[in-house]
Amino acid sequence: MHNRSMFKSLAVLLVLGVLAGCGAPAAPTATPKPQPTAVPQATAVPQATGWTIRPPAEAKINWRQEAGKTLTIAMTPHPYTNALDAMKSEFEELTGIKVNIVTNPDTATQTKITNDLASGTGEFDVFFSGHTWDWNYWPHFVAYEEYLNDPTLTDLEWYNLEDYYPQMLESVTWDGVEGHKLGTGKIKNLPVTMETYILAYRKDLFDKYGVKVPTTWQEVFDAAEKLTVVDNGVQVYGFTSTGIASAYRIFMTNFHNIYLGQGVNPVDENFDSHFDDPKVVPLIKGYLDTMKNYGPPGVNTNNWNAVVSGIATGQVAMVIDGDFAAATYENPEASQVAGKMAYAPAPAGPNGRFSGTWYWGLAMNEFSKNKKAAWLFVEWATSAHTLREAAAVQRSFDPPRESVMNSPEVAALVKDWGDGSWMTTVKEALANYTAMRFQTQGQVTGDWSKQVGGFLTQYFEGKITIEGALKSATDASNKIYDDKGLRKP
Amino acid sequence: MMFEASTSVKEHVSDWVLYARKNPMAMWLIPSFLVACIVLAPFAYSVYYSFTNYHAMHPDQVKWVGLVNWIKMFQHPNFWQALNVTIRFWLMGLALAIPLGLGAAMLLNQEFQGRKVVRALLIVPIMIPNVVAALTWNIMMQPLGGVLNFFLIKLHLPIQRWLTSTDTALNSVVIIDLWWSIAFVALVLMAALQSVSDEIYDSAKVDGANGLQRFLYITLPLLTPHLILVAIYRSIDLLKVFGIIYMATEGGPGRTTTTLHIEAYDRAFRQMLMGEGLPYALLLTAVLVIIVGFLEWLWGRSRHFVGAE
Repeated sequence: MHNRSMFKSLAVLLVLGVLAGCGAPAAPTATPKPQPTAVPQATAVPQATGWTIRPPAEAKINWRQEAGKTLTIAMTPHPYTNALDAMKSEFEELTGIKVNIVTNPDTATQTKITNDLASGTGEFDVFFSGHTWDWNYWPHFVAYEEYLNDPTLTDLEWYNLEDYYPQMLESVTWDGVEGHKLGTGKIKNLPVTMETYILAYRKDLFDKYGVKVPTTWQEVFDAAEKLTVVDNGVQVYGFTSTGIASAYRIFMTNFHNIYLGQGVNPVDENFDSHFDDPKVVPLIKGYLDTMKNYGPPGVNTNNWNAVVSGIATGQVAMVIDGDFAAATYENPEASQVAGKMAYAPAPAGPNGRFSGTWYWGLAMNEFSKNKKAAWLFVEWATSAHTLREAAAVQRSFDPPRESVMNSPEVAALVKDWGDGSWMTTVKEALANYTAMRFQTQGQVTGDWSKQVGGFLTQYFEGKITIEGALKSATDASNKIYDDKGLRKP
Repeated sequence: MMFEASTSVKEHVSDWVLYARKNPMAMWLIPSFLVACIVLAPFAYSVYYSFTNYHAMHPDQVKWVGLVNWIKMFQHPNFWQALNVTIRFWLMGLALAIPLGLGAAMLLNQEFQGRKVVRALLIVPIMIPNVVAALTWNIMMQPLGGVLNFFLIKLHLPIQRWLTSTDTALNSVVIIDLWWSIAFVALVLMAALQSVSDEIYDSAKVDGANGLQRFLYITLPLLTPHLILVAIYRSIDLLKVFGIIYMATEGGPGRTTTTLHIEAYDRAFRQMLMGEGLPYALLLTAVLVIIVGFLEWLWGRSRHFVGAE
């Protein structure tokens, strides 16, 4: 069996070559319910009154039970990876387990995970993984319940699973069937960061040019026009956005909010697509026109890094994107706008306000030969104590645990971000309208993202009308889900 | 039966040993046989799995599906688009690399101050991994803040969207590939130029041939085998291109720079559909074998023509 697997891997590698790369996400869904639910019954632990973050040494388990083992962890470049690099010696001293962290770009990491899981070699014990990645790799990630419920391995009172934000626990709980809702099944990932999407804006420019903080999409478009100015000899663009070339991220950050705010589910529960619903077409047109007319050159292919750098270099006045970017905006060593920013909720539509989310977390390899040691690592690395240090010292944001978000250490770091508006805005978003908006799916996300993104790009470049672009995107999306057998018209 | 079979095997082995004693050169067949097995066995597996529903996360549930994956590929618009991009990338890359590389080689073949330094610098791009080259160019080609647009602005020329526009993305990745590969072309052709005897040029000069005539009637014909050889190497790189495009554009915007290799990767490693990805990879292999085979045939003919064999 193992040899067969090896041959399969060799066969594939011979023809395809071994390559490297980066995470490209997936396709949409949307549940216009503002607030998700769920902590799985099997692992639900009542949160103790007055629960506080305590150091690992106070957990009632024998941390040294796997001493002498060596773990290999696959990571991608990320502030949390920096935090692990800085803190892993603490774990090694605590447990006697040696940790090797292997960091590669996203695409290379995905290739390594795929090869490892497909061949069953168990090269890596733990993977850094996010939600669309999980959906692909779910069959070979380990369900954590067995380890969480083993008192020799986990002190549940110390670990406190319920400390996670509920939408985070819901996001990592699934039965593994594409199209099925999150929140039921097994936990196979434990988040280390999360994000919600909020308005981040240059308060100094808004004040100077007398622009009101927008609360609707139309106000965003109008503000972008007013803020596209030459300010003190510097060209400032009114608005930036994540790119549209790969559509997944624009849906995750803003388009789900636009569609759901108008009461339209862009891809409904039957995987039927409604991108061209007349109620939404003018807003999508407005969004893309604003990107084109008041966004920086090349905005249509922006990755999150380009979005952050546009704001941090002082070239852009406003963005609605991941709240975690404030850790960069407000860092004077990395940003020219520290202290000039303010934060507010993303715009709302008549049907309400909706934010998607993304998490990064740690998943365990089914083929790991050191599962107990790997679990001890995951338990330590996702504990409130470790995540607090990752956030407060290494600026790994957002912490996915409430105790960490509310800790004095994190509060002290963020208290001046937008004069406190960051924390208020994020807490409101997490409490009221942040949830995983895409339906579970694994294999088609890349194709969906490229095809839908391709039509949006054609409109952006003036080659087709907005109606034509959204109709073609709808047809392409429906065909993809038809081919996968997910669509039930 | 067992006894007969093992006797028969023993007889075969002893026959082969006898034959090898009489013909020691036959021993060299063993490594060739091993190499063939190492290369061909996974290739044969690839062909086999292209006829199955092999899913990377369910390698234990492989079922034979016949021609389904191949038919799906030929019916899928992505395939024809990816084939088109692959061929265009190959043609553009080749059509520009060879004349530019030849021009650089001829310049570097001249005596001039600092020639050694320039030659040493020429090797630098070859030593840089193509992925690093693509990432660096990606930064340089950023429409906002990229150094290329900075110079265009200084020259009062319109800025370009480079990798971010469906109109310019493919051309831009060709530029990146050229920067990375042109030194290789120039070095090979420079070595070839140095092998051409000066006496031939001197005789032509005496006969009154001007520079263009000497290039057209002496340099070019004598370099033809080398040009074709370079075309073979470049064709292999261009048709198999992955790192440069993936790092620069991930195959976008839209599908503008999605080649067969990237399509195969997306299907096999992103969508986990190994069975569906393999026909794309195998077809790319077939295209490569046909093109390189034709160039090799041309190479043989050209060597014959210039009397190299």
